[in-house]
Formats: sequence, structure tokens, C-alpha cells
Amino acid sequence: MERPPPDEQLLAASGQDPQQFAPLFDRHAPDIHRYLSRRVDSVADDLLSETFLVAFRQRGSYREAGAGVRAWLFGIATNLVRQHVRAEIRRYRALARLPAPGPIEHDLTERLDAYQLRARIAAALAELNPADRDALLLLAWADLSYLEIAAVQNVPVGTVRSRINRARRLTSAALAIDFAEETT
Amino acid sequence: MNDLTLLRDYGPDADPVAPAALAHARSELDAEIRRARSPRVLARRPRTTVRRTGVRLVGVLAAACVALLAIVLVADRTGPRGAKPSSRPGTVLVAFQVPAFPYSLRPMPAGLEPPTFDYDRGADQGGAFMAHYRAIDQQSVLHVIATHESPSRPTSREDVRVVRDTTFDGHPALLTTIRGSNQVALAWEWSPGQWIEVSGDGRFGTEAAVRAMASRVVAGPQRVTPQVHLAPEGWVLDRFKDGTILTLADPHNRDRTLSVNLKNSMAVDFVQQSYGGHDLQRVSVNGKRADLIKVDQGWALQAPIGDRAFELQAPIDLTAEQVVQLAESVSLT
Repeated sequence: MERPPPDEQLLAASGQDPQQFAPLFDRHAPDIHRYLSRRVDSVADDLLSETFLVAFRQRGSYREAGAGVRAWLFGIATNLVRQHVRAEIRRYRALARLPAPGPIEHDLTERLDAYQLRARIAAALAELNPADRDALLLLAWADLSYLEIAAVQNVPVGTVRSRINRARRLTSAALAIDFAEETT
Repeated sequence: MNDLTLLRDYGPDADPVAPAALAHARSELDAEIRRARSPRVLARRPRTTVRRTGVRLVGVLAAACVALLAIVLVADRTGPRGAKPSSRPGTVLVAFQVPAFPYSLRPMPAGLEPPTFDYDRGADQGGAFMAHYRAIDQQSVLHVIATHESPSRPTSREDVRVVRDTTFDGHPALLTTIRGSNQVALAWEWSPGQWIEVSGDGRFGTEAAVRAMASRVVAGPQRVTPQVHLAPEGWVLDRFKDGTILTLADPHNRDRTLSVNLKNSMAVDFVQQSYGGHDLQRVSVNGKRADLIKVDQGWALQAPIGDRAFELQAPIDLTAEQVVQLAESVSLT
């Protein structure tokens, strides 16, 4: 069975044959939507569409620079989220205020722990500065490497490390757990 | 369970994507694609830049929708050779020279802007040095790439590349075209283990054009910016991008890096805005006031340079004095 062409080949070919861009949507749209939905669920559908329209229009200026097409798409999606940062923070703050579980079942302790964790995480995310939050969530939810994040944020990898370490320190403090430094 | 795992498992949930939402987004993209395929839109080709990839030819030609002409050259390994990795503590700074792009076009084709340069040491540490010449009308770009690797060949029938064996200047060469496009690349072995690729599209997107441009490639170094004239002993150039970011790395640990990032001006609140670091020190770099702070895993320094500014990030095992020495060795020429 033939392997499908790599993303980079499709992107290259789409310059002359725009239809070649369409398979990139099929490959990456579900992951991009999942990422957007976790950050800005109310506008995730719209931003998914916008992400691929922006990517298609900017495909001529794509340059790998240490990251691939997938990371590039997450970078575009993240930039779009920035335009809805108030909605994002409202979402986190709303999640932090959600009422505790109602009818109690046998796993009460477990459910309460999970509830408290979700609330604390949401509250912590709301307090991060946008650049730190972007870097942290590109790592945690988009599974990008430090080098990929540096490429899509157009900053040195040292800046990414600083942003992520600062964000992780703050979220760990909010969760009352030890911060174990990690480099990717 | 660490904080990242908690973030993944207990962070805000994602609603499952509705098939209708996917279909809607796809239909909007399809409509955009149809519009792009119309002759009127195709006539307005967007400005394109170049990328560097392991598959260099495809990488260069990824800038497909813009007319580009590129020459890709394989660079010599950069930085001090054969030196032992820097030891910690007690890192020693030694003289360093950011390598020049080794080739030039002579005579320079008319109607091109001055080149921009990229370098990436890559995972295989072979490195690729690239020069990008954009046409003044933004409709064509030429790339020159230097690499130690011969171009890869298509591995499947779906590969959009068509590669043909040929010769150039008496050397075995490969001519690559992209199906459905007017992009062409010519690669030949300049000297044993040193490959050059010249590629382009637009007015450079023909075999005759890339051969003509390839015939203008001569050994002629072109300096890149920014420069740093000191480095930890044994470190190598890791990457730079568009003359704005320069990164050196410990060859035995790519996570240990030293970066110079040019920016338009000094950050007013360097500590809070950039790093949230601590122990801010006012220091002097070449007689000008600069800021030095400790950050999570190293040092960050910002200083003016010319009418701009730069930010230097260095590992924590360097002393503050060494960081200032490094900063004083940064130049734009």
C-alpha cells in the first residue's frame, strides 16, 4: 500500500494546484478542533474554519523553520485564540465556579477530587499571561515540542522554556503539587 | 501524576467535534480553494518565502504558490571543530566566528533583492545553509542551498516530485520538477560531499533558468547577521533565521543553547514582560546600559545595538561576567 504524501509535499503542490491543500484539513482538523474546543469552546467551530482559511491563504509563506505543517497549523489556531482571549478567560473562570457534584455515588472522594482539580486548573489557566498560556497549552494539549513551539511563536527556545516553566510553576502551585521541571 | 498529566486529564474538556461542524469548515475551505483556482485569483500570487526541510528539494519548492528562485548550498560544519564539549562548571569562552554563506551569484541577476539567509544544523547535524533571493516584483524567488546530502528521490507513486538524472558543469546532477507546477531544482555535487541546489519558480521556474542561475554560483562568502564573536568552547552554530535569531548549542546537548534575538527596541519592563526572572542587574555592554536577570534555567540580557536592541539568553553555568562578555561580542557586521 502506498504511503500518503507527507504534509510538506501536499503544501508544496497546493501552490500550483490548490486542491492539494484539502487533505491537510482531513488529517488535522479533528486535532485542531479538540485543541480549540478546550480553549474556547463557544467559538471553536468558527475558529477551526478560520484556521484552515488563514493557512490556505498563507500557504505561500509557510516555512518549516524547525516545525512541520501540523505545528504551523496549531500556531495559526493559537494566534486566532488570542483574538478571543476574553472568551477564553471567561470559560476558565466559569469552569472554576462550577457547582460541586450533585447526587453522590460510591466514589464520592474520587469525584470531589476530580471536581476540585478541574476547578483549580481552570482558575490557574485564567491567571496565566497569554504568551505563557499559549506555550503551556501547545505543549500539553497540542503535543508540540519546545523547538516547534519556538518556531510557531517565533521566539528562541530559551524563551519557550522560560514561559513554560513559569506557567507550570504557577499551575503546580495552584494544584498544590510539586513542580517537577521537564524539558522536551 | 505531574502537572502536565493533570492538565491533560483534568483540564477543560473538549466537546466532540460535530460532523456538521467539520463538514461546514471543510465546505468553506473548498469554496476558498475553488476561488483560488479561478484565473483571476491565480494571477494575484501571494508573496512566498522559503523553508528548510530534511527533504530539501520539496522544502524549497514548498514555497510553491510564489514564484521563487532558490539556490541551496551545503555548508561546511560551523563553529569550532573537534573541540571537546564545554564542561560545567568552569565554562571557557573562546573566539567564535559565525560562518558566512559560502557562495555568491556572479554576476548578480537583475531585479533581485539582497538575499536573506537561513541555517539549521538539523537532527543529523549535517546542516543546510540557504540563501533566498526574492524578485523585486515579489513574483519570483531563487534559492541557493548548500548541504552535505544528495537530494532524496521519490519513494512512492504519490510523490509529487519527478527526479531525472542529468549533468551540470561536468558533474552528475539531479533535476527535480514538481508535478503540476512550474518549479524546478537542479542539484549537483560541487565537491566531494558538498552539494548545491539551485531552485526557483516564476521566471526562474524552468530548467533553462535554473541552469543559467546555477552557472552563476561561485565560491564567495556572504556574511550573515547577527554575529557573536565569543562562544563556550566547543559549541557550534545551531540555527539562525532571517537574520533575527542566532542560536549556538552544545553539540552534545542541544538543550544547552545560547541565543541572540534582535528586536526593535529594549523592553520597558524586561523582568515582568519577558521572563518574570529575578535579581535584575544594571550592567554596561559596550558602554551602554543593559539589563541582566536570572531566569528559570539561565540568564537573560537585553542591550541596545545600533538603532535596535538584542536579547541574549545563556545557560546558568556561565557567570554574569561571561554573559556580559558574550553580549559585548554581539555585532551586526
